[in-house]
Amino acid sequence: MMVKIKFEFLPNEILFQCFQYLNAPDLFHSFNQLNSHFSTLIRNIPLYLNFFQMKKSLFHHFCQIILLNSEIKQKIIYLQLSNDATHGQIEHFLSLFSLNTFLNLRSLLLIDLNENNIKQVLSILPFLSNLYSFSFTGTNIETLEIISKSKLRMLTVRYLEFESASINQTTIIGITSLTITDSQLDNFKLFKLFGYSNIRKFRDE
Amino acid sequence: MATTAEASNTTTGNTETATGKMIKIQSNDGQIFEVDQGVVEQSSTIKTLSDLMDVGDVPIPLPNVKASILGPIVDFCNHHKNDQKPEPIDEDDDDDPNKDIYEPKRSDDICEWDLNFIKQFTVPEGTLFDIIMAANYLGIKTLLAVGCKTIANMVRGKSSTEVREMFNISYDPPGEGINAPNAIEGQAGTVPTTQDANATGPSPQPDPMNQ
Repeated sequence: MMVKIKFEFLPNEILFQCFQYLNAPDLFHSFNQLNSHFSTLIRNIPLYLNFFQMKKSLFHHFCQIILLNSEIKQKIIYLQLSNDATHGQIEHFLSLFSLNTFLNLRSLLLIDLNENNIKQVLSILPFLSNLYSFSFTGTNIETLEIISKSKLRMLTVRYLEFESASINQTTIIGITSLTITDSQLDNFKLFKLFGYSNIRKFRDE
Repeated sequence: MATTAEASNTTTGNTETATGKMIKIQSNDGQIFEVDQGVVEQSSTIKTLSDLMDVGDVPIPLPNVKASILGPIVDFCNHHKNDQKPEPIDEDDDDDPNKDIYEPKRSDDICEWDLNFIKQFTVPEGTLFDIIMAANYLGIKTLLAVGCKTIANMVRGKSSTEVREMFNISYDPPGEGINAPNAIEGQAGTVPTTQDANATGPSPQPDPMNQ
Protein backbone atom coordinates (compact mmCIF):
# COMPACT_ATOMS: atom_id res chain seq x y z
CA MET A 1 0.00 0.00 0.00
CA MET A 2 1.36 3.43 -0.94
CA VAL A 3 1.95 5.91 1.86
CA LYS A 4 0.06 9.17 1.42
CA ILE A 5 2.39 12.17 1.56
CA LYS A 6 1.43 15.02 3.89
CA PHE A 7 2.37 18.64 3.36
CA GLU A 8 4.40 18.87 6.55
CA PHE A 9 6.55 15.93 5.49
CA LEU A 10 7.66 17.53 2.25
CA PRO A 11 11.44 18.06 2.29
CA ASN A 12 12.56 21.48 3.47
CA GLU A 13 13.99 22.29 0.04
CA ILE A 14 10.49 21.99 -1.45
CA LEU A 15 8.83 23.91 1.38
CA PHE A 16 11.39 26.69 0.80
CA GLN A 17 10.37 26.82 -2.84
CA CYS A 18 6.72 27.16 -1.86
CA PHE A 19 7.51 29.88 0.68
CA GLN A 20 9.53 32.01 -1.74
CA TYR A 21 6.29 33.04 -3.44
CA LEU A 22 4.84 34.47 -0.21
CA ASN A 23 5.21 37.93 1.25
CA ALA A 24 6.74 37.68 4.74
CA PRO A 25 3.58 38.88 6.58
CA ASP A 26 1.53 36.27 4.71
CA LEU A 27 4.10 33.61 5.47
CA PHE A 28 4.06 34.35 9.18
CA HIS A 29 0.29 34.69 9.25
CA SER A 30 -0.06 31.21 7.81
CA PHE A 31 2.82 29.28 9.36
CA ASN A 32 4.04 30.98 12.55
CA GLN A 33 1.49 29.33 14.81
CA LEU A 34 1.44 25.79 13.49
CA ASN A 35 4.25 23.97 15.24
CA SER A 36 7.94 24.29 16.01
CA HIS A 37 8.93 22.76 12.67
CA PHE A 38 7.27 25.53 10.65
CA SER A 39 8.12 28.28 13.13
CA THR A 40 11.79 27.40 12.84
CA LEU A 41 11.62 26.96 9.09
CA ILE A 42 10.16 30.38 8.31
CA ARG A 43 12.83 32.03 10.45
CA ASN A 44 15.59 30.47 8.42
CA ILE A 45 14.78 31.39 4.86
CA PRO A 46 15.30 34.57 2.84
CA LEU A 47 12.28 36.81 3.36
CA TYR A 48 10.58 39.20 0.94
CA LEU A 49 8.87 42.01 2.81
CA ASN A 50 6.47 44.12 0.80
CA PHE A 51 4.38 46.66 2.73
CA PHE A 52 2.98 48.34 -0.38
CA GLN A 53 -0.60 49.51 0.33
CA MET A 54 -0.76 47.21 3.33
CA LYS A 55 -3.35 48.00 6.00
CA LYS A 56 -1.96 49.94 8.93
CA SER A 57 -2.92 47.22 11.42
CA LEU A 58 -1.14 44.55 9.40
CA PHE A 59 1.91 46.75 8.99
CA HIS A 60 2.09 47.31 12.76
CA HIS A 61 1.49 43.65 13.47
CA PHE A 62 4.41 42.50 11.35
CA CYS A 63 6.69 45.26 12.67
CA GLN A 64 5.88 43.91 16.12
CA ILE A 65 6.88 40.41 15.03
CA ILE A 66 10.21 41.77 13.77
CA LEU A 67 10.76 43.65 17.02
CA LEU A 68 10.12 40.49 19.03
CA ASN A 69 12.26 38.35 16.72
CA SER A 70 15.24 40.49 15.81
CA GLU A 71 16.83 37.59 13.90
CA ILE A 72 14.16 38.06 11.24
CA LYS A 73 15.87 41.28 10.17
CA GLN A 74 18.88 39.27 9.02
CA LYS A 75 16.64 37.19 6.78
CA ILE A 76 14.98 40.05 4.93
CA ILE A 77 16.52 40.40 1.48
CA TYR A 78 13.79 42.52 -0.15
CA LEU A 79 12.02 45.47 1.46
CA GLN A 80 9.35 47.64 -0.08
CA LEU A 81 7.91 50.55 1.90
CA SER A 82 5.36 52.97 0.59
CA ASN A 83 3.73 56.20 1.66
CA ASP A 84 1.19 55.74 -1.12
CA ALA A 85 -2.26 55.44 0.51
CA THR A 86 -0.65 54.97 3.91
CA HIS A 87 0.03 57.45 6.67
CA GLY A 88 3.76 57.93 6.85
CA GLN A 89 4.59 54.26 6.60
CA ILE A 90 8.21 54.90 5.64
CA GLU A 91 8.78 57.38 8.44
CA HIS A 92 7.18 55.04 10.95
CA PHE A 93 9.28 52.11 9.82
CA LEU A 94 12.46 54.17 10.03
CA SER A 95 11.49 55.28 13.54
CA LEU A 96 11.25 51.62 14.61
CA PHE A 97 14.24 50.21 12.76
CA SER A 98 17.56 51.41 11.53
CA LEU A 99 18.01 50.19 7.98
CA ASN A 100 21.65 49.39 8.58
CA THR A 101 20.59 46.56 10.89
CA PHE A 102 19.10 44.75 7.89
CA LEU A 103 22.49 43.37 7.06
CA ASN A 104 21.43 41.07 4.24
CA LEU A 105 19.13 43.45 2.44
CA ARG A 106 19.65 43.07 -1.31
CA SER A 107 16.80 45.10 -2.75
CA LEU A 108 15.17 48.26 -1.35
CA LEU A 109 12.17 49.99 -2.89
CA LEU A 110 10.75 53.16 -1.35
CA ILE A 111 7.64 54.76 -2.81
CA ASP A 112 6.63 58.40 -2.27
CA LEU A 113 9.62 59.14 -0.14
CA ASN A 114 9.82 62.62 1.35
CA GLU A 115 12.94 64.74 1.45
CA ASN A 116 13.76 64.14 5.12
CA ASN A 117 13.53 60.39 4.70
CA ILE A 118 15.67 60.30 1.59
CA LYS A 119 18.51 62.09 3.35
CA GLN A 120 18.28 59.58 6.18
CA VAL A 121 18.18 56.63 3.79
CA LEU A 122 20.96 57.85 1.54
CA SER A 123 23.26 58.33 4.50
CA ILE A 124 22.73 54.66 5.39
CA LEU A 125 23.17 53.26 1.88
CA PRO A 126 26.97 52.98 2.07
CA PHE A 127 26.59 50.79 5.16
CA LEU A 128 24.27 48.32 3.45
CA SER A 129 27.12 46.35 2.00
CA ASN A 130 24.91 43.71 0.38
CA LEU A 131 22.42 46.11 -1.21
CA TYR A 132 22.21 45.40 -4.92
CA SER A 133 19.15 47.29 -6.08
CA PHE A 134 17.66 50.57 -4.90
CA SER A 135 14.59 52.32 -6.25
CA PHE A 136 12.76 55.32 -4.92
CA THR A 137 10.14 57.80 -5.99
CA GLY A 138 8.79 61.00 -4.54
CA THR A 139 11.62 63.42 -4.19
CA ASN A 140 14.39 65.11 -6.07
CA ILE A 141 17.80 65.19 -4.53
CA GLU A 142 21.43 65.01 -5.53
CA THR A 143 22.09 61.35 -5.03
CA LEU A 144 25.10 60.56 -7.12
CA GLU A 145 27.83 61.28 -4.60
CA ILE A 146 26.25 59.13 -1.91
CA ILE A 147 25.32 56.36 -4.30
CA SER A 148 28.84 56.27 -5.65
CA LYS A 149 29.98 55.17 -2.18
CA SER A 150 27.58 52.22 -2.08
CA LYS A 151 27.86 48.86 -3.78
CA LEU A 152 24.62 49.26 -5.69
CA ARG A 153 24.29 47.58 -9.08
CA MET A 154 20.74 48.68 -10.00
CA LEU A 155 19.26 52.11 -9.45
CA THR A 156 15.80 53.42 -10.33
CA VAL A 157 15.07 57.10 -9.60
CA ARG A 158 12.71 59.79 -10.85
CA TYR A 159 15.49 62.31 -11.26
CA LEU A 160 19.22 62.10 -11.21
CA GLU A 161 20.65 65.48 -10.42
CA PHE A 162 24.36 66.04 -10.29
CA GLU A 163 27.00 68.49 -11.30
CA SER A 164 29.08 67.30 -14.22
CA ALA A 165 32.18 68.38 -12.38
CA SER A 166 31.32 66.06 -9.49
CA ILE A 167 32.09 63.04 -11.65
CA ASN A 168 35.75 62.29 -12.10
CA GLN A 169 38.12 59.39 -12.00
CA THR A 170 37.88 59.12 -8.24
CA THR A 171 34.15 58.58 -8.43
CA ILE A 172 33.57 54.86 -8.43
CA ILE A 173 30.16 53.98 -9.75
CA GLY A 174 29.40 50.27 -9.65
CA ILE A 175 25.91 50.64 -11.06
CA THR A 176 25.31 48.52 -14.14
CA SER A 177 21.62 49.32 -14.59
CA LEU A 178 20.19 52.83 -14.30
CA THR A 179 16.56 53.85 -14.86
CA ILE A 180 15.46 57.48 -14.66
CA THR A 181 11.69 57.72 -14.78
CA ASP A 182 10.74 61.40 -14.82
CA SER A 183 13.49 63.44 -16.38
CA GLN A 184 16.16 63.46 -19.03
CA LEU A 185 19.86 63.91 -18.73
CA ASP A 186 21.55 66.18 -21.24
CA ASN A 187 24.10 64.56 -23.51
CA PHE A 188 27.09 66.05 -21.74
CA LYS A 189 26.05 64.64 -18.39
CA LEU A 190 25.27 61.32 -20.01
CA PHE A 191 28.74 61.28 -21.58
CA LYS A 192 30.33 61.98 -18.21
CA LEU A 193 28.21 59.36 -16.48
CA PHE A 194 29.03 56.62 -18.97
CA GLY A 195 32.66 57.64 -18.99
CA TYR A 196 33.10 56.87 -15.32
CA SER A 197 30.74 53.98 -14.76
CA ASN A 198 30.03 50.45 -15.89
CA ILE A 199 26.44 51.08 -16.89
CA ARG A 200 25.32 48.41 -19.35
CA LYS A 201 21.64 49.19 -19.30
CA PHE A 202 20.22 52.70 -19.29
CA ARG A 203 16.58 53.74 -19.52
CA ASP A 204 15.48 57.37 -19.64
CA GLU A 205 11.67 57.15 -19.60
CA MET B 1 4.74 -7.82 -15.12
CA ALA B 2 5.62 -4.63 -16.88
CA THR B 3 3.08 -3.04 -19.14
CA THR B 4 3.82 -0.46 -21.77
CA ALA B 5 1.97 2.83 -21.96
CA GLU B 6 2.12 4.56 -25.29
CA ALA B 7 3.29 8.06 -24.58
CA SER B 8 4.10 8.44 -28.26
CA ASN B 9 2.92 7.00 -31.52
CA THR B 10 5.74 4.50 -31.56
CA THR B 11 5.43 1.22 -29.68
CA THR B 12 8.90 -0.16 -30.28
CA GLY B 13 11.77 0.93 -28.06
CA ASN B 14 14.84 2.94 -29.05
CA THR B 15 13.30 4.13 -32.30
CA GLU B 16 14.22 7.28 -34.14
CA THR B 17 11.52 9.88 -34.69
CA ALA B 18 11.42 13.43 -35.93
CA THR B 19 12.31 14.52 -32.40
CA GLY B 20 15.15 12.01 -32.02
CA LYS B 21 15.73 8.79 -30.18
CA MET B 22 12.92 7.35 -28.10
CA ILE B 23 13.68 6.42 -24.49
CA LYS B 24 11.77 4.05 -22.24
CA ILE B 25 11.17 4.92 -18.62
CA GLN B 26 9.62 2.64 -16.01
CA SER B 27 7.54 3.59 -12.99
CA ASN B 28 8.01 1.86 -9.65
CA ASP B 29 4.92 -0.24 -10.29
CA GLY B 30 6.25 -1.57 -13.55
CA GLN B 31 4.56 0.55 -16.20
CA ILE B 32 6.75 1.56 -19.11
CA PHE B 33 6.43 4.87 -20.96
CA GLU B 34 8.15 5.78 -24.19
CA VAL B 35 9.27 9.37 -24.42
CA ASP B 36 11.13 11.38 -26.99
CA GLN B 37 14.07 13.73 -26.58
CA GLY B 38 11.74 16.70 -26.14
CA VAL B 39 10.50 15.10 -22.93
CA VAL B 40 13.91 13.82 -21.84
CA GLU B 41 15.41 17.31 -22.13
CA GLN B 42 12.97 18.64 -19.51
CA SER B 43 14.02 16.14 -16.86
CA SER B 44 17.59 16.49 -15.65
CA THR B 45 17.33 13.11 -13.93
CA ILE B 46 16.15 11.18 -16.99
CA LYS B 47 18.60 13.03 -19.21
CA THR B 48 21.54 12.23 -16.94
CA LEU B 49 20.53 8.59 -16.63
CA SER B 50 20.00 8.17 -20.37
CA ASP B 51 23.37 9.81 -21.10
CA LEU B 52 25.21 7.72 -18.54
CA MET B 53 23.56 4.38 -19.07
CA ASP B 54 23.36 4.17 -22.86
CA VAL B 55 20.17 2.28 -22.14
CA GLY B 56 19.33 1.00 -25.58
CA ASP B 57 15.98 -0.73 -25.34
CA VAL B 58 16.14 -1.22 -21.58
CA PRO B 59 13.71 0.99 -19.67
CA ILE B 60 15.22 3.47 -17.21
CA PRO B 61 13.87 2.57 -13.77
CA LEU B 62 12.35 5.45 -11.82
CA PRO B 63 11.86 3.86 -8.39
CA ASN B 64 10.40 6.97 -6.77
CA VAL B 65 7.51 7.53 -9.16
CA LYS B 66 4.35 5.49 -9.60
CA ALA B 67 2.59 5.15 -12.93
CA SER B 68 -0.44 7.22 -11.90
CA ILE B 69 1.94 10.17 -11.44
CA LEU B 70 4.48 9.41 -14.16
CA GLY B 71 1.77 9.27 -16.83
CA PRO B 72 0.56 12.84 -16.23
CA ILE B 73 4.17 14.00 -15.97
CA VAL B 74 4.85 12.61 -19.44
CA ASP B 75 1.72 14.47 -20.64
CA PHE B 76 2.99 17.68 -19.04
CA CYS B 77 6.40 17.38 -20.66
CA ASN B 78 4.88 16.49 -24.03
CA HIS B 79 2.72 19.61 -23.84
CA HIS B 80 5.67 21.83 -22.99
CA LYS B 81 8.36 20.31 -25.16
CA ASN B 82 8.09 23.01 -27.80
CA ASP B 83 8.06 25.89 -25.31
CA GLN B 84 10.69 28.51 -25.73
CA LYS B 85 13.54 27.59 -23.43
CA PRO B 86 14.33 30.12 -20.72
CA GLU B 87 17.64 31.86 -21.17
CA PRO B 88 20.35 30.06 -19.27
CA ILE B 89 21.07 31.72 -15.95
CA ASP B 90 24.57 33.02 -15.70
CA GLU B 91 26.48 31.67 -12.71
CA ASP B 92 27.22 35.26 -11.80
CA ASP B 93 23.73 36.69 -11.67
CA ASP B 94 25.13 40.00 -10.51
CA ASP B 95 26.28 40.57 -14.06
CA ASP B 96 22.78 40.49 -15.50
CA PRO B 97 21.72 44.13 -15.64
CA ASN B 98 18.24 43.34 -16.87
CA LYS B 99 16.62 42.15 -13.72
CA ASP B 100 16.51 42.54 -10.00
CA ILE B 101 17.20 38.96 -8.95
CA TYR B 102 16.07 39.72 -5.42
CA GLU B 103 12.54 40.72 -6.33
CA PRO B 104 9.78 38.53 -4.88
CA LYS B 105 8.78 35.73 -7.19
CA ARG B 106 5.32 35.77 -8.74
CA SER B 107 2.88 32.90 -8.38
CA ASP B 108 0.00 34.40 -10.39
CA ASP B 109 1.55 33.57 -13.74
CA ILE B 110 0.57 29.91 -14.11
CA CYS B 111 -0.78 29.41 -17.65
CA GLU B 112 -4.29 28.08 -18.15
CA TRP B 113 -3.18 24.66 -19.40
CA ASP B 114 -0.99 24.20 -16.32
CA LEU B 115 -3.79 25.38 -14.02
CA ASN B 116 -6.11 22.74 -15.47
CA PHE B 117 -3.34 20.15 -15.35
CA ILE B 118 -2.57 20.68 -11.66
CA LYS B 119 -6.28 20.60 -10.71
CA GLN B 120 -6.34 16.82 -11.16
CA PHE B 121 -4.06 16.49 -8.11
CA THR B 122 -5.50 17.05 -4.66
CA VAL B 123 -4.43 17.58 -1.07
CA PRO B 124 -6.81 15.02 0.53
CA GLU B 125 -5.52 12.26 -1.75
CA GLY B 126 -1.93 13.47 -1.34
CA THR B 127 -1.47 13.49 -5.11
CA LEU B 128 -0.58 17.18 -5.21
CA PHE B 129 2.41 16.39 -3.03
CA ASP B 130 3.17 13.26 -5.07
CA ILE B 131 3.46 15.32 -8.25
CA ILE B 132 5.65 17.92 -6.52
CA MET B 133 7.92 15.25 -5.07
CA ALA B 134 8.14 13.51 -8.44
CA ALA B 135 8.93 16.77 -10.25
CA ASN B 136 11.69 17.42 -7.72
CA TYR B 137 13.09 13.88 -8.07
CA LEU B 138 12.97 14.02 -11.86
CA GLY B 139 14.46 17.52 -11.97
CA ILE B 140 11.60 19.07 -13.95
CA LYS B 141 11.88 22.68 -12.80
CA THR B 142 8.85 23.98 -14.66
CA LEU B 143 6.52 21.40 -13.12
CA LEU B 144 8.05 21.86 -9.68
CA ALA B 145 7.41 25.60 -9.98
CA VAL B 146 3.78 25.02 -10.98
CA GLY B 147 3.28 22.77 -7.93
CA CYS B 148 4.97 25.16 -5.50
CA LYS B 149 3.10 28.18 -6.89
CA THR B 150 -0.15 26.25 -6.49
CA ILE B 151 0.64 25.60 -2.82
CA ALA B 152 1.56 29.27 -2.30
CA ASN B 153 -1.70 30.39 -3.93
CA MET B 154 -3.67 28.01 -1.72
CA VAL B 155 -2.24 29.31 1.55
CA ARG B 156 -1.93 33.03 0.78
CA GLY B 157 -4.21 34.97 3.12
CA LYS B 158 -5.09 31.89 5.17
CA SER B 159 -4.61 31.88 8.92
CA SER B 160 -2.59 29.21 10.68
CA THR B 161 -5.84 27.57 11.73
CA GLU B 162 -7.03 27.36 8.14
CA VAL B 163 -3.67 26.09 6.93
CA ARG B 164 -3.65 23.47 9.68
CA GLU B 165 -7.08 22.27 8.60
CA MET B 166 -6.28 22.38 4.89
CA PHE B 167 -3.10 20.33 5.22
CA ASN B 168 -3.93 18.40 8.40
CA ILE B 169 -0.80 19.69 10.10
CA SER B 170 0.10 18.26 13.50
CA TYR B 171 0.29 20.15 16.78
CA ASP B 172 3.36 20.28 18.97
CA PRO B 173 2.86 18.08 22.04
CA PRO B 174 1.66 19.95 25.14
CA GLY B 175 4.54 21.77 26.81
CA GLU B 176 6.88 21.21 23.86
CA GLY B 177 7.90 23.16 20.79
CA ILE B 178 6.01 26.41 20.50
CA ASN B 179 3.89 25.32 23.48
CA ALA B 180 6.96 25.21 25.70
CA PRO B 181 7.08 27.78 28.50
CA ASN B 182 10.30 29.20 27.02
CA ALA B 183 8.98 29.30 23.46
CA ILE B 184 10.20 32.14 21.27
CA GLU B 185 8.46 35.27 22.43
CA GLY B 186 7.41 36.33 18.97
CA GLN B 187 5.60 33.07 18.49
CA ALA B 188 3.08 34.11 21.16
CA GLY B 189 -0.12 32.54 20.04
CA THR B 190 -2.89 33.94 17.95
CA VAL B 191 -4.53 30.56 17.89
CA PRO B 192 -4.38 27.54 20.16
CA THR B 193 -1.21 25.66 19.26
CA THR B 194 -2.10 22.45 20.95
CA GLN B 195 -5.11 20.19 21.12
CA ASP B 196 -4.79 20.07 24.91
CA ALA B 197 -6.63 23.00 26.45
CA ASN B 198 -4.61 22.57 29.66
CA ALA B 199 -1.26 22.76 27.96
CA THR B 200 1.15 25.39 29.14
CA GLY B 201 2.29 28.01 26.69
CA PRO B 202 1.76 31.53 25.46
CA SER B 203 -1.66 33.01 25.81
CA PRO B 204 -3.66 33.52 22.64
CA GLN B 205 -3.66 37.12 21.47
CA PRO B 206 -5.76 38.79 18.83
CA ASP B 207 -4.26 38.61 15.36
CA PRO B 208 -5.00 41.71 13.26
CA MET B 209 -4.80 39.63 10.14
CA ASN B 210 -7.87 37.76 11.36
CA GLN B 211 -9.85 40.92 12.02
